[in-house]
Amino acid sequence: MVQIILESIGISPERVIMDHCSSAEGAKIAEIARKMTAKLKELGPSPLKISESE
Amino acid sequence: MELEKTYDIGTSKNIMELMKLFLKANIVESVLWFDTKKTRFDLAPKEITNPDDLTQDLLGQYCLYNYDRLDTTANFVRKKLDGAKNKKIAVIAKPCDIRAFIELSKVRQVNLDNILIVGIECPETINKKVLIKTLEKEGIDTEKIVGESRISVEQISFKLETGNKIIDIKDGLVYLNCTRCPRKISMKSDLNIGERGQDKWIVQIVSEKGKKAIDSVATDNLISGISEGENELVNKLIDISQQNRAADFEKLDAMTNKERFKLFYDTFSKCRKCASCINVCPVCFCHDCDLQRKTKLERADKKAGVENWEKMDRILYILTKMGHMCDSCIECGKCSQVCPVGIPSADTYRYINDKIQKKYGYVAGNSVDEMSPRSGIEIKKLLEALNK
Repeated sequence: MVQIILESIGISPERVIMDHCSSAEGAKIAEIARKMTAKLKELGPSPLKISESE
Repeated sequence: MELEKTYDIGTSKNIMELMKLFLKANIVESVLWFDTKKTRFDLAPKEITNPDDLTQDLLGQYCLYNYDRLDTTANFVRKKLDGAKNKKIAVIAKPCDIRAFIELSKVRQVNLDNILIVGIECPETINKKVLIKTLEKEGIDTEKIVGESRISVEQISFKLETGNKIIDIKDGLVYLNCTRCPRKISMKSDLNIGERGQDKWIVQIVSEKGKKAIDSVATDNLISGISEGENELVNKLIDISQQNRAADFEKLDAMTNKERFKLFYDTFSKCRKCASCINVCPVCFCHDCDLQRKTKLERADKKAGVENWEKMDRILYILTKMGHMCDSCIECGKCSQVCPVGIPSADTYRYINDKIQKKYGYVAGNSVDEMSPRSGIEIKKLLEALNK
């Protein structure tokens, strides 16, 4: 649902993910975080931030 | 009277008489009628419990809060009449009000069992300010108007004491949102009324409840016979709306993310956080609204260290509202109508709604049993726990 909103207003929906892991899966959390940060770095700063600084 | 049949009822006065009969027969305890101050454009909803008070015959295709009013039927029932939880009320509602009632009943804000909904076949909403200006330009005294009806897609006829005056519909007279609305006739009401030709009204029996209500009063003097055919004008308007809608979405779909963001940012960064759109929204119901606690937001933003937080906050404000409302927006367009700086937020909601419909097949306000893909499962679980 959030992804739909973001796409409709022109922010790439990949910026938000939802996943689930239990408290025993520390490695999985780290893996997801790593993946996400890599993706975000690839996408660059959010268009919201760019518009603010202009 | 038979289910799903349409009957001629004569002039709009007879509909008032029908309401009187409902009150006298104790089918409903009160009727949500309307009150006027000066001209028929200053209508306000009013609850009437005594049948003798029901004297103002103001019903017209447009006269039913179809001029831009802040208090929609659904909002009035929820806020002022306690959601009809303890008494039976008859209301006349536009299709978008009916959708609002359905959405509100899903979250237990109104009791649909107690509301006798008389739906109206909606010929789109008129912008009051533009209308009064247009009338003044034509040299018509607004106080002398006694009736009005839409006679074709391009024209509205105003009934004066001296005769009829026809006004062309030009840009801005009809709200943009209404020209994109494909649901102008609702079949979720109990009875439907509509104008077919000048001051020739029909009543259609839609639900068992409506049938029971109309059967238990003597309507022989009011109803003259079965009416054939459908409301061609409204059907034509629905076709046009659907085309407009598809064209809008096509345009937005063709944009790249960057262009879409620019459009969004340019329109929404004018927001002044006045909360008009929240107060007018018929499905926004939280008693303690997160977005209206200003100090809290300010502090949070300062602490989070967002640069330029003042402007940022506006976008967050819009996004928070979108997150709350996107799966229950019924596309009434009130948020665009009341916005003091003229942000067309309804356009964005409409686009989001379309996407939700394509992905989940869910349309807000269509049925009481359909639950939102987001919060529906949780609400169902809660209700089951409550009913145990």
